[in-house]
Amino acid sequence: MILYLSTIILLVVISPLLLSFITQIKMFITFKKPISIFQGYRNFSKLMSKETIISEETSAVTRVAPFLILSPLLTVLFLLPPIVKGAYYVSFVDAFTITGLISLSTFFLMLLGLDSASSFGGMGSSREAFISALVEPAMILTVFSVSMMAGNLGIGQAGVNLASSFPQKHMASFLFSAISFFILLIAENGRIPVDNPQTHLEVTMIHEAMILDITGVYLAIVEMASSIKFIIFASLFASLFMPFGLQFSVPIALMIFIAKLLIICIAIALLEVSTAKLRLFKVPNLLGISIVFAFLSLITFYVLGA
Amino acid sequence: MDNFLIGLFLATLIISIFTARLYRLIFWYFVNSLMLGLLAVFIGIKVHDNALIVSGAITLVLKALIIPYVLKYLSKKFHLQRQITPNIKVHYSVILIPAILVFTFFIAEPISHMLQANPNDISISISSLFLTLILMMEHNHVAPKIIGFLTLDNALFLLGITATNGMPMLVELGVFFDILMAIVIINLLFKDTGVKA
Amino acid sequence: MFLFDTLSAVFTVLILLGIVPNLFYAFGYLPHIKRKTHYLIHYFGFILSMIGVVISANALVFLFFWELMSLTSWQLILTEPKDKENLFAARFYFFMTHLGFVCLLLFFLIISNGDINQSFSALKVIASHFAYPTLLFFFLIFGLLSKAGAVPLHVWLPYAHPQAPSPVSALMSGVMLKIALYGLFRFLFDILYPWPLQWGVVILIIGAISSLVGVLYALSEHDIKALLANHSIENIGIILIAFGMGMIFDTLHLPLLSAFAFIAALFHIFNHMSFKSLLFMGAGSVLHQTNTKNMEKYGGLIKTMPITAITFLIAAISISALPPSNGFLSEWMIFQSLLSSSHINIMTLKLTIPFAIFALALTGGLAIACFVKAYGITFLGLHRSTNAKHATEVNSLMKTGMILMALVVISLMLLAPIYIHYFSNTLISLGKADVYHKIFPHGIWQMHSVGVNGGVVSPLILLIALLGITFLLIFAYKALHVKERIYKTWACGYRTSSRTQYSSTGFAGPIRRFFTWLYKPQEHLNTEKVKGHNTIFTSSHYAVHVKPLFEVSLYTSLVRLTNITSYWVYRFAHFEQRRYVAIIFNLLLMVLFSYRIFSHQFSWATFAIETVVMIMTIKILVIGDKK
Repeated sequence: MILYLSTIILLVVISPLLLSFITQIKMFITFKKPISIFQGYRNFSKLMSKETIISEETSAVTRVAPFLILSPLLTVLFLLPPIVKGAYYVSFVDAFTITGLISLSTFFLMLLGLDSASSFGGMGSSREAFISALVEPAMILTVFSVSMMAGNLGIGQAGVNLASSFPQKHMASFLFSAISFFILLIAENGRIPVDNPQTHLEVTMIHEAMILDITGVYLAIVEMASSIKFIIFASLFASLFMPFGLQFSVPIALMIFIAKLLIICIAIALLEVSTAKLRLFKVPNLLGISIVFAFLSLITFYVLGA
Repeated sequence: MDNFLIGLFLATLIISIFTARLYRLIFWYFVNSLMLGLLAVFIGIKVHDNALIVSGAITLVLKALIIPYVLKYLSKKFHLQRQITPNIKVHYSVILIPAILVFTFFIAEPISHMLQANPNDISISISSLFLTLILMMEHNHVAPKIIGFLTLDNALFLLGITATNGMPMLVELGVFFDILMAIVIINLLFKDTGVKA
Repeated sequence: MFLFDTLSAVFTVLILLGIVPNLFYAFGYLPHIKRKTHYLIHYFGFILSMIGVVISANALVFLFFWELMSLTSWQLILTEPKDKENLFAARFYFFMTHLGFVCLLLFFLIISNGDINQSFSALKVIASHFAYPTLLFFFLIFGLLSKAGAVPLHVWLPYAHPQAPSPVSALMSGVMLKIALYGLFRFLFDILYPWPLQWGVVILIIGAISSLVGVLYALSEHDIKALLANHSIENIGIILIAFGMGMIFDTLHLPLLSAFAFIAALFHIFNHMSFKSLLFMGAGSVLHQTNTKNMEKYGGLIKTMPITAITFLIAAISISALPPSNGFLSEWMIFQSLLSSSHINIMTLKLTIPFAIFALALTGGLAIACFVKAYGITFLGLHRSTNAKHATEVNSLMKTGMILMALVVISLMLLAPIYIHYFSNTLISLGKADVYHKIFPHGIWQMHSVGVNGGVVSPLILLIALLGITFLLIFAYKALHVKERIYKTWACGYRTSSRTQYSSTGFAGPIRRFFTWLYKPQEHLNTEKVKGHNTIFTSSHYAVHVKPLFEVSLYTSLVRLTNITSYWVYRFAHFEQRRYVAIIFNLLLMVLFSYRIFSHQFSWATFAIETVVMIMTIKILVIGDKK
């Protein structure tokens, strides 16, 4: 149980590091002086010490929404597959619940965007609604098909099963769902081909537009929520689609897990450096690919058993 | 011998499709019916079927002599238009008729397997059905249409002879009676169109 | 004459749960209505007829109450006959519902040998001797689903439901649609019992398509009640998916899974009744206060109408299937029953079930987008019109109605085990397996799927975790004593006014654009341009209309098809004899063809050649050249 709680705390702690790490790699590749890896913590502490400014147009939603954005994501952290052997894990929670919790967080984020009556908030919400409407089905299909391959609909148990006995005969569906899930990882966390977290340009921003009118602690909470969301996706990818390393002893398994997260970060950073942001109406094509792959994965599993 | 007669039957039918004169068409109908009657009599003698001989004789008398005569008489009486150009142009018909023949041979194959008769004869009679329908289709005037209709009856009779060695006598007589009735109606029709023409 | 078995009891409970809050609301709404007597007579007649339908014991009584239900609801739509739209909606509803009635009548006449005054159990004997049960099945689902509003018989629903007064819309959408599903339960279980596999697949496919179509058209609506009506189509689709899965499992002799799927269907029936009624009540309150159905005229209502806003939020979360709401639980059950079919080795199912999973998943995503739009545009931001500015909270009776209904929603979430136990008992009495102890093997905290290696969900733990973490966070925030300041919206320094906000049309813009191939929207942009400039204008007006594809393709084209057919009939009847000959020619060909294909030997090459020849001859000889 202690191992279980400590891994969750570890995930919460390292989540800002990963985002800073991606930025660092990107800056390094483009010959800029990299930021510190602790930039995430610095931003957080800066925001925590600021006063909160609330728009006079807003309602109670703005005061409650930041907490409701964070709490489902924190709940999801408790339900992830284990990262070390012997740790307690919640074995039985399935894809629909986890996706639902993430959507609950997104739901309140979108309401938050609409609450401030600014045109940017509405724009961000509209785009987020559009993207998450396409992301959610793909995610449900992908994770369900992986967990069916693993022989248990519960994600925690599926992660363990995959690590202990990899389903060789379902390689094709597995590959399809891996591709689909990687696209989701990018789309849902607002990484470059879908959204650019660095800019504040009207034509491009999605996530930033929704949180443009909140400051201080609220902003800190929402930023924390987005980094936790990233780590949820990254660790789901690491446990479900890179299922190895669980059998080693605790420190080595932990090292392997963090190495997997870093590999994901590097992959994302390389992708971000080498591609341009897509136009908003091109994004569905990408997400369409993801949905198609998710559906393919499910239907190959069903029809061919492969 | 019967193959020869069937061949002539088909040949007259094909020629009548190309024909553009009314009297000539009536003539080809006469030849067509003649061949059919002879064929019926011939087969009737061969298989010793008196009924077939009788219906062949009736065919010779009625279809080969009376009906062509009545038709010619009526068309003269009502001054029908004697120039009947087919709607389907000749160079299309040249392609269309062989196509229909070949195609009928193709689709009639299972049926001819079913019967013990000569498969060629059956195919030819079915294709002559199609050809008579073409004959009816390619003309706008009522007179050639009627001749087409009468030829259709010939083709059906041919099919009956070749496939089953003759229809029952009663049916055959019924058909003849129908045709006579048709001639009476044709009289009225001719009167109508004759006034217009 | 009347029969009150467990199935009737379940649906009576459903009706009562729907009606009691609705009564309060309806009386609160009464001052808004001019023809009070007319309204009240039909309102109570409607309620009585619904109860009558579920407790009737023979076909005659059933049909009587069914017809009474149709007629009273038809009159209720006409409560305020002010414009053409209303009359059109009522007429459309009248025709569709009677089309369904005719089918039901045919169904009953066939299975009762003309004597419809027999009990249902007697009918089963006659029905089992009928040679074509599939015909009966199609009559039945045509009759019932035209009432329930499943695709393709849903077209009347988005017109009729919004036109009724709001309490009636809530009843129609929340309860009346479920009465049609009661018919499905009653007659499929009691009369047409051994189902072929195909029936379940048909229901499953209808459900999957309805759910997608409903949610897609809901997104493009900006009339709030029409939006909700479209969501009814979606939810009926979801229920039908569960029902279809139950039928499929039953055919395959998997009693546990079958009972699980039927419980999911019943649970979703209850859930949809609760949250849809609540949403219609909320929409009705907003409508009552702002006097407009157009969502573009709302905004900022959460400040003046807090009770409406909060209850609407609960319902919106529930209908979007977000955990840990009751809508989430029933959709979870449906997902689990779909997924537990992965080991079934039948090709039809291997293709249709992933499609249904896909449809259900996509529906969930789009429903969230839709309710963010409905909630955000209606209640958040700045008011978009003076009507919205002067709106106040509704009267206490209406508030009571909404709060009671919200309590029903919450009770379905908190007391899910009790409800499921009840549904399970109902299914046991209908001869299905007992699955309650499989769903809750270790007390009420965890809900298990009955499939092999199925998932588990623990709604109460989730709820407690979410609330706990949220309160901890809020507590920590309060403990920090953060200084708060209230100031204008920043919005990058632009001035914020009600006109710079996103409109509902704009909000759904990206999705509408993505689904252009389906919506085929008609856009109208009128601008008063300054002379000589192409880009500078003084005023502009943008409107976009989405005409439902099904209405255009199915109903309008049916009319066109009739016209074309009659034209051709005319042509064949009145043109040259040549065509008759050509038809005979083609018939002859067809006889020979079909003989060759069906009796002799079949080869695709022959078939292809013959088809081509047939088409050519028909084109050349029969149709000819158009004049």
